[in-house]
Amino acid sequence: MAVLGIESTAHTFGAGICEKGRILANRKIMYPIWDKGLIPAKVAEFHAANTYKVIRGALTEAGLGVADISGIGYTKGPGLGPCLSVGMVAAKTIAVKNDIPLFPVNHAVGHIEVTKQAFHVKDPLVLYVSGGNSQIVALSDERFRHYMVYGETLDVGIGNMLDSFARAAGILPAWGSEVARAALGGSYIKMPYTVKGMDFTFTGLLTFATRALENNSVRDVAYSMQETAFSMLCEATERALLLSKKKDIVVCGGVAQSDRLKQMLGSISRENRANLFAATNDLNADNGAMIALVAEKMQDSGQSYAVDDCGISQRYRLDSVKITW
Amino acid sequence: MPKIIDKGAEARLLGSTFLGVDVVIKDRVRKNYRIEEIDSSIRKERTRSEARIMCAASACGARVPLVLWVGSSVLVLTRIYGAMLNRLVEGGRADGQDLFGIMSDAGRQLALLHRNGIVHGDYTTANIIVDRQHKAWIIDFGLGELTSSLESRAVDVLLMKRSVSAALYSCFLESYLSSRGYDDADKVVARLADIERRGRYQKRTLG
Repeated sequence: MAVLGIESTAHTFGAGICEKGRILANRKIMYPIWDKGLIPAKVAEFHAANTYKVIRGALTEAGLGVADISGIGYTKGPGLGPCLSVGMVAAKTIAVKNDIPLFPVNHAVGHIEVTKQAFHVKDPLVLYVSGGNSQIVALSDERFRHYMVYGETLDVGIGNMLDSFARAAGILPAWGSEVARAALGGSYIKMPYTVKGMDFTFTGLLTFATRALENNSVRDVAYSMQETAFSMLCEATERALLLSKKKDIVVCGGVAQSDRLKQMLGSISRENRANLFAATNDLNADNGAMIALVAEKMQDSGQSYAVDDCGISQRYRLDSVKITW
Repeated sequence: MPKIIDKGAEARLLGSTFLGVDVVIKDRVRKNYRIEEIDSSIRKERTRSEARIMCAASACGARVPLVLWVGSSVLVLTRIYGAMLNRLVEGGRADGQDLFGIMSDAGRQLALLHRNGIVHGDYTTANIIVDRQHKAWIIDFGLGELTSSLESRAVDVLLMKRSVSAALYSCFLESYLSSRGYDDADKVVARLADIERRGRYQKRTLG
């Protein structure tokens, strides 16, 4: 029996199917981003219009019917409320109509577990970097087994910073991977570098970089901002690695698609005799398969939820999730 | 010959002697993950700033190693012998009474630093050495600042809060709050609550 996962945190609506940890299908559609940020209500409307097509596409890709689905996972949060609601309603509709158990999944746990599964890594230090999040976590060995936060951003997520900068600099489409492209061949301008223990902040850097655009080329500013921000993440990660004494590093989330970030983390792992693991870009981007994967683990480890308890939470913190597998 | 005592995330510590005194040489090593410009400026700035802050801390009577020499990415400091507080806390090697006494001492030392406009920046049990007289010595001012900012002071308290159990923290906090001649402690703790609320997706209370 297979498990269906539905993801609708932000710009991506995805549906994936897993069976015994193996991904059978992973379909998604992304709200087109050009020069502006996301208006949640509009994105939700887009998701709602594509819900049937994406879920049906995933079932077809896996060669399965609804009768073959033994559990349905959906993203409970964190994310944009209107977008999360669309995924939740879709999941509930299929679950209630066909009497299938429902599982509310934490989005960050999805990114982490899908990478662990892909490389059979058991207990890594995790750098989770996406639009709204930037956290360094690892599993705790307390009785309430959960991902403990070693360090995190004290203001915005790194992806948000890169996207905001892209909009200010007129980089199109306005998102992080285009900032990386704009940064190629740039020269360094000194920028504020803020690490507090294992925490870090990005808004000061963003303000500085935005102002620096007045007197410098987009290329130099993009290069300097990206190098500074990634160095901050890497310094905090290296400190957490030494403190936690972990042997494996997982980098996941949308910004884990950055080759430069992975290159820097590779250097840290070599110098500390640790292993670095990063999933392929289609799994680091938001997707339904990771939600299906976690839902399957939740189901197999005996979790169960009443339909009425399956809601959404825009601020669903990673460290509040009980890990039962 | 200098011998490696420890390798941290940003520096290696070498044991040696200098002018006949046992010293620790703190050598900030090149980090290959970051570009040369960022790397060299961080190593140089942090070395200088650490020296300045440690001298200020010594001057106000806080228990910190003495700075004997400053190079471009190297500090020579008097060596403090003892046990790292994080090991004592984890290993439970000190008896309970001792740990509480040491945490009080750590709270008093922090209040003394803060009263004199010094912020440590990474005030955890990993940066406190406990000597044979059960006194707390504060090391590693690499992320320190000379500032009276409530925010930075609150981060010091927050980092300690995160690094120990609730019982040890309350002991630490009590002595921090009741240290003589330091009137800002309440404001710092209020700011600490603000910071915790600001953390991403933290549960927020109304009113």
